[in-house]
Amino acid sequence: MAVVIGVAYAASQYYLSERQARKDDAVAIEKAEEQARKVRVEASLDFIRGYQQDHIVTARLQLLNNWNKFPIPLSEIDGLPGSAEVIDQYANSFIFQEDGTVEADQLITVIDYLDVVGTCVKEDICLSSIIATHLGRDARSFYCLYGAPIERLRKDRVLKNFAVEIKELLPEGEDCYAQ
Amino acid sequence: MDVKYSIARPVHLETSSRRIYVAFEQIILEMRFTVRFSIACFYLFSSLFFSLATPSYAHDHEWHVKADDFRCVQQQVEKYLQQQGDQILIFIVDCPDIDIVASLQKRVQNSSGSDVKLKTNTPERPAEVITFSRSELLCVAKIKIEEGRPVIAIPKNPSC
Repeated sequence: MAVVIGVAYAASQYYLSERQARKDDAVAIEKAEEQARKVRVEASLDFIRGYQQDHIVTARLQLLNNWNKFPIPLSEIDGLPGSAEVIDQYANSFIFQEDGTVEADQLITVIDYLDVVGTCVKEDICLSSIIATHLGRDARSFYCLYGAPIERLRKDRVLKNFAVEIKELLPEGEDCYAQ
Repeated sequence: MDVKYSIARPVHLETSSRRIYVAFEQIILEMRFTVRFSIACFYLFSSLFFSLATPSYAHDHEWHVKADDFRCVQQQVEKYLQQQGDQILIFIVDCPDIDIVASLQKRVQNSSGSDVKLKTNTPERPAEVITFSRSELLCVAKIKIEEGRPVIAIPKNPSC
């Protein structure tokens, strides 16, 4: 009888300790996941803060200011046949001047930065939800409005990976083109 | 003295083996044709697929516009040149009305600039809006329009 009680007691102790160990493991995993998420959030915020660096702010404002030369709000040509080519022609005229000079520094600065952020999202180092909220719209604007000069720079300067990873930042289901 | 040796075979055996050989050769030839035909079809369909499915910014070098609209633009070049800036925006479907504000009043849009959706022009879907640089627009009047076509292709960067 004493042996049976002893075995039962040992079994219950073993069961309880196993349960505790599993609980501890689950808590440890949860903590590790939370820690990993914190690291990803921090990495994302670093990139968002980096987007406010002086040279990048200057470059992106210059790129956006270019469109002040467009005689009407861009939304007015939304979905009109020919709007894609009109945007291409204007964007090319901003970057590739008629006298042969190329003013691509701002475009390269901004797109390069967004490419790096795209890599961070792709590699799961950054949180795509945070990045998309803060940089998604800008990424789409620059990618869609400057598509033609981006394409030309890729060819002229053999920048095969230029503006490739930025696609990771584009809001889902928001293509540049109307159906 | 040369001595020629030959192996005598029964005639019926040679005939049947020849038949098998010919049939086999026929099968091989047909297989070759089928394989070549399949490869050709594969190349054809894959090139068609990629040309249609791959989105590209490299739009062709021409505007597809209605011939009557373009004739109107050619007649109004001087007026379009009054627009500010190096690049001239033309709502070709509104010609001879060159007033951009009037053109805008015909269109009510609610999207913001960053959300603008772009649409390419094609012969089936002629451009409603086009653009030329100031110097290109000077050459537009000299472009000869092919008669008898409702939709024509115009170079995006005409020079004269």
